[in-house]
Amino acid sequence: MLFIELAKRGWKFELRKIEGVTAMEEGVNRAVEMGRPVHWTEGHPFGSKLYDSNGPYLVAGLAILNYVTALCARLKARLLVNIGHTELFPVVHELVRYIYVAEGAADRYVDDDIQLMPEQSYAIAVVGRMERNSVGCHIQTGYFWSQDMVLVPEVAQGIGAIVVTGAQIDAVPYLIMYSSSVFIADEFFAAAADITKDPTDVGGMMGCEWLKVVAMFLALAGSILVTLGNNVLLGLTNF
Amino acid sequence: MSAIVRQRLPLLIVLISGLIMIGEFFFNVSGVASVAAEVRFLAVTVAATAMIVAAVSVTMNNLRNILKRTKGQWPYHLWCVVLLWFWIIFGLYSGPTSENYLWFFNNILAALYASILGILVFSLFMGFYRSFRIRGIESGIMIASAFLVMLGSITIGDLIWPGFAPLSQWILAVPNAGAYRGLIIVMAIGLMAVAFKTIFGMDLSWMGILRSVTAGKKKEKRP
Amino acid sequence: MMADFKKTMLRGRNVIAWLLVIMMVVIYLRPVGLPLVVSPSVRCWYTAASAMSNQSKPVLMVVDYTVGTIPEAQPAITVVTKHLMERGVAMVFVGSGVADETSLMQTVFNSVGIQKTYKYGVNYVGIGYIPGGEVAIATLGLEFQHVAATDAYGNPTANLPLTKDIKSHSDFSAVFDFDTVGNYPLWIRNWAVPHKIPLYSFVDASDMPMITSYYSVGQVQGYMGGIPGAAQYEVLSGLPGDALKSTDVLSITHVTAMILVVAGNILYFTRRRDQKE
Repeated sequence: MLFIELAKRGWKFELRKIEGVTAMEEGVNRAVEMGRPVHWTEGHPFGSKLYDSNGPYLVAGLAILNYVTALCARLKARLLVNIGHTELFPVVHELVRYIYVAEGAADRYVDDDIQLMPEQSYAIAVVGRMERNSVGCHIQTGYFWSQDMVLVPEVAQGIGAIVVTGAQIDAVPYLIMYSSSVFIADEFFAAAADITKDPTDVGGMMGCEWLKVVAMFLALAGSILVTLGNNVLLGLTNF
Repeated sequence: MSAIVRQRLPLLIVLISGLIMIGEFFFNVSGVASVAAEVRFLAVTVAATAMIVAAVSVTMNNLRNILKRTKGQWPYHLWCVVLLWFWIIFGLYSGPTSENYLWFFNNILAALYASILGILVFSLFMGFYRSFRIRGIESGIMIASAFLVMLGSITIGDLIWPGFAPLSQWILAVPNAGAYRGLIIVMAIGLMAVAFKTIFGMDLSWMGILRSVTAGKKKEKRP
Repeated sequence: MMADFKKTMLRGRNVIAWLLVIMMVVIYLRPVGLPLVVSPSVRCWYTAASAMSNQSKPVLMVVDYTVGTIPEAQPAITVVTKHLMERGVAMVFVGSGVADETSLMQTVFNSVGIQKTYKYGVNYVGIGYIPGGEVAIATLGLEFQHVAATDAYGNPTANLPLTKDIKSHSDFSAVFDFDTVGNYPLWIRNWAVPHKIPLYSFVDASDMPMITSYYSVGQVQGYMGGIPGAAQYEVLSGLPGDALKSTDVLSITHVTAMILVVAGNILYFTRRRDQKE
């Protein structure tokens, strides 16, 4: 909260450029050049729900959808959206429609381009839609289950699309194999700050960075103390 | 009134529920604990109701395409709706533990789903072939450790050299676990930040409301 | 048309796929029966289960896998259930991942023939799927009767001899979690760490790197990783099943993967050398 407040009061915090954001811009530009649509999806309903502990991944994915939709609206690229979570469907509908209207591209908004994929067949339905529409840029950001981490980006790469992905930590090793660019670990959450430059997002990221420094210090201090036989830091976790 | 109901009320509910759960975790106060218990029970009930919402959402979404006669796709949308309601009615009528339901479940659904997951192995192998290239020292070390872990977990590895299994266990328990712990901590801090912003109403994207409409553009508020 | 068919079948990707299919079919039809090495994490789980008896508190068996991962997870839950049945340990089955788990739980009951040796309501109870994700998992450990008010067959849990006295997590001796949906961190966060309930988890092979970090600090007391883990448990318990049958196929696919990586690198370096020349 401290850093969010400082950012709102005008303090400038420097964030490094996130490679995945640049890759998304390049991907959308390339899709426009090839005359192929851009595709975004957010994850398998089995692995996460908006209201459970993996919900923040979906929320972070929505921030990226925000950016991708704005890019597509400005660059006149067709955007295909596949949703696996029913609770996200109305939210995404509103979000995409609003951005198209705000960008002055209300006439290019197509309701049918946003589809809800049923639970069990999510991955195969997404793959089928990507292949039928021959997408030029595939972006998947959210929380993914096993086949989404492998099958979906692999098929996207096979049809010649630029693949940009961001997901939970255990998906990263798989996504790295099949993606042109991956948001690794905290880059996924930092992408929103990099895109919007909003004081709340930037300040929040700075707060996280300092928490990481504290965590590093505690880990180092704790391992030295435990090696020397002192368990004082371990006692801090018992509350 | 509409803005209060659509925006302020959900934020208030999220804030109060979040504060109750945080309070219950950090403070041992009996009143908070019982309220938190009720909130948890409500959450479980809402989650159960979400399944009904899911069924209705899928039906409405597919019906739209059926009525529009979307070219080349509407028969599949119709089939999806027919199957969805067949399973719902059949499941409600016979129960998920009945013999008839289990027959359909194991012989149709399980078989189909296992075949979809079976495609994964081919995708994985394409990935191995394409991306595991020794381009430098780091990639060489990565491939070497991947080979060691694979040989340590299969029976043939033990025939070649019995040391593969303990070496593979060491790789998983020491360098791998250390790296994963670092990443888990980082992700957990990021998750905490997103959850914190959601509880205190600083992030409204989950409601479909944007604080900033587009990257680099001036912020606009929804009416 | 024949020429097109041949061209498609002999494309690079399809050659790899055919190679894999042929290797798997050959070894499945003619298994070699290679010996297994049991890992310490599986041995821990087996030792803990062997120490239980019909005097122990019931074990919470979490059925957290999906229809598609039946070939991987079902051998594991089958062998552990059979082992616990041999020891006379009471079990409560619950699912927290997806709605299919109620049917999967029933499939496990049918495949191990639990009804033949155990009495329902006395030795085992099937709650089935409880919606709510992490909230349900947390609440199950704090107010069991509130969340699991009825079992999968509609019987109130307050009326069943096994579950009528179960109020919270401390009424269970351990949690045996069979998970391919990635819910094991939720059980660690809500049962193992705050309430010190021993947690043993089966995970699919892709989650093994993650769960090792929890196992090495004692938050998970033991784990099985995929089919090899289940096969190791079958060897320890002397109850061979589907997992042991699959280990040869697993070995050959790993070897094929390594051959492909080596072949890919040979081609890569050959091409690079040719380009330089």
